[in-house]
Amino acid sequence: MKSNIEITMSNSEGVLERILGCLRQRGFTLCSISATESADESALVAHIKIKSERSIELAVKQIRKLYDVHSVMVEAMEEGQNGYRHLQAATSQA
Amino acid sequence: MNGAQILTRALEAEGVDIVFGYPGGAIMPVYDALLESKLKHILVRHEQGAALAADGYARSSGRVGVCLATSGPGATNLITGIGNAFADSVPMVAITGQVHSFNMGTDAFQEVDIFGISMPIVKHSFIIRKVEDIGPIIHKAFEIARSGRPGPVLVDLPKDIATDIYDGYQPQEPAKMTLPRVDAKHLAQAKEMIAASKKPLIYAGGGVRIAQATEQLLAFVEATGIPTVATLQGLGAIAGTHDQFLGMLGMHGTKAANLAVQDCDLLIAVGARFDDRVTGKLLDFAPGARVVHMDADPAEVSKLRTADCSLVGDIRTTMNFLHVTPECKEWVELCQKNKKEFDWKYDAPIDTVYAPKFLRKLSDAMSGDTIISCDVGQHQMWVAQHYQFERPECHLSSGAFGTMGYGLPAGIGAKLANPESPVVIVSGDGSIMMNIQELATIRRYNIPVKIVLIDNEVLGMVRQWQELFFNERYSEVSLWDNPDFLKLADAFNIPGIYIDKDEQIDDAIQSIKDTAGPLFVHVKIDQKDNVWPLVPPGKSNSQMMEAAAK
Repeated sequence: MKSNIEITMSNSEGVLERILGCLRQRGFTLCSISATESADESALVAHIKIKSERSIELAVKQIRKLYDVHSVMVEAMEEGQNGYRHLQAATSQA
Repeated sequence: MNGAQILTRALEAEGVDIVFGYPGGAIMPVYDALLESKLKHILVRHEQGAALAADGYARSSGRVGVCLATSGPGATNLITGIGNAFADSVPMVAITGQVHSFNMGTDAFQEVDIFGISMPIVKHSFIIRKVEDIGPIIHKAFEIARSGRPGPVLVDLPKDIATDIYDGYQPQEPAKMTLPRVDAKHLAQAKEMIAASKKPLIYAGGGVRIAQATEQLLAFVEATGIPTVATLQGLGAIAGTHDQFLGMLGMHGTKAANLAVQDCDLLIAVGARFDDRVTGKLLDFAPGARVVHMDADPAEVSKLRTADCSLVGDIRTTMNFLHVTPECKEWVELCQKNKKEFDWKYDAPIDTVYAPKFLRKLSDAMSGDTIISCDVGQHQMWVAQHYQFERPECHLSSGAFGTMGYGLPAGIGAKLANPESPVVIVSGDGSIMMNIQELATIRRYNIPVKIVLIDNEVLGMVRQWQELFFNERYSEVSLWDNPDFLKLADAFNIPGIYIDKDEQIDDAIQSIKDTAGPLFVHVKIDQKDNVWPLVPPGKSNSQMMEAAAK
């Protein structure tokens, strides 16, 4: 299962490293990543695609615990014949 | 003030009285500032000892433990202790010196990226980049370490920042801790589930101690009449002598506890996390039970076992709302019958020291406020099984991490945090050598801990598994060449006694009670004594292996 996550976080030292480390250790493989600084440079918004046999809920709950993370938005996706198909979308606050 | 002085002021403002550490180049400004501060510094003999002593201090007192180390190897030596605190949710602030800011990233002398190295085993971490940030970061570090599910926070302080001058620091009051209240709808659901249950069981974990919820647990247990089991970290959450307590569950749990778990129709997890040493084969754990799960950490609920009712928030207030009495008389009687039938027996006539018997006698002899600091291995499981704890803060044991070498420094930290309570360190001949250098710390400060070394000249738990699961192929477990432990204790000017006979147990325990200063009690046991019962790895808790008890 591949999933897209949007994470909003403080633009603090090591924050992306912390998120990527958490995902790797919990059994999620990175497919793609992009991150953009907010206009005032205080926040980062990252769009991350990951894949795993494990439930995306596990990754979301662990990322939400990170002190610098403000919110996590999940779009679960599934591989289909014609690329990807949306299954669900959920927004949550840290 | 310079940065190091701000640091010590901020620690004082957080109520810190003791810090454990070891000086070195990059942390020197902080050691200079310590000379004028109110903080008492305990010089350990290895940084791992500092982190583990801070852990013992924190677990036994509920306060944040603080450890200090220099950069490079000083910082990396803290890592095992930080990992241990992370695994068992212990509030800790670890402060590391770092090379000058302008040298960071140049492979300078004693430079290491401790911020990066520690990342997976801290709740949060900081590198301080400006002197004016020192105060706010230290206060934030304490708030994070104590809040919600506690854990270690690392603060890395470059040497130049520690010597920079800033006069604007304002000490802050420690932050107040609050947890969300559980949703009323979920509480009502839990209440209904408890009321309807015919075979309910309470499964108490380390979260009860962390939340300081022993009173609420006792009220909940007694109001509902529900039988109760505890994890290793949950021991003492309800008194070991309580009528409704069936013992520890899991791999080395009591038969009464494991049978109850496997047979219950409602499992009420209180600050517990369905760890693999508790559940055995997860799919077969409490197979007929619905689950009510209360915890401060939302990530633990339904992580391993899906909860039918999740109660995320403050477990103290949660339990107060759940005082209903299910109709489960037959179930309670069955649990009591099993408890009686499978109770420990210590009456076989033997000449040698049987460690479980020694520990039960120790438990009977010591006061209820005695703190037992364990190491890791067979002796640790015997303590868990046979010592009856009245309070969870009195049982210090490296549970999730299983850190050999924990007991000695943790016992030092616990004694310094609780000078009025007796502290007994129970160790094994493998574990004690992992941090044996801390005998020097005991001597230096004349810390009156009692050390009970249970010596079988072998790495006993590994030997037991090689015997049972590796066809008795013993690989690198013999410790035939141990040092003479009493001579070793004597070298640190610590008096000792040696026993190897059953008839000597009572006198040894009396010496533990009567000796004012530190004491080293060397207890020789039979190498073939194993820990029973045992749920083999990957098996269900209903498949307990047993052997004839002595």
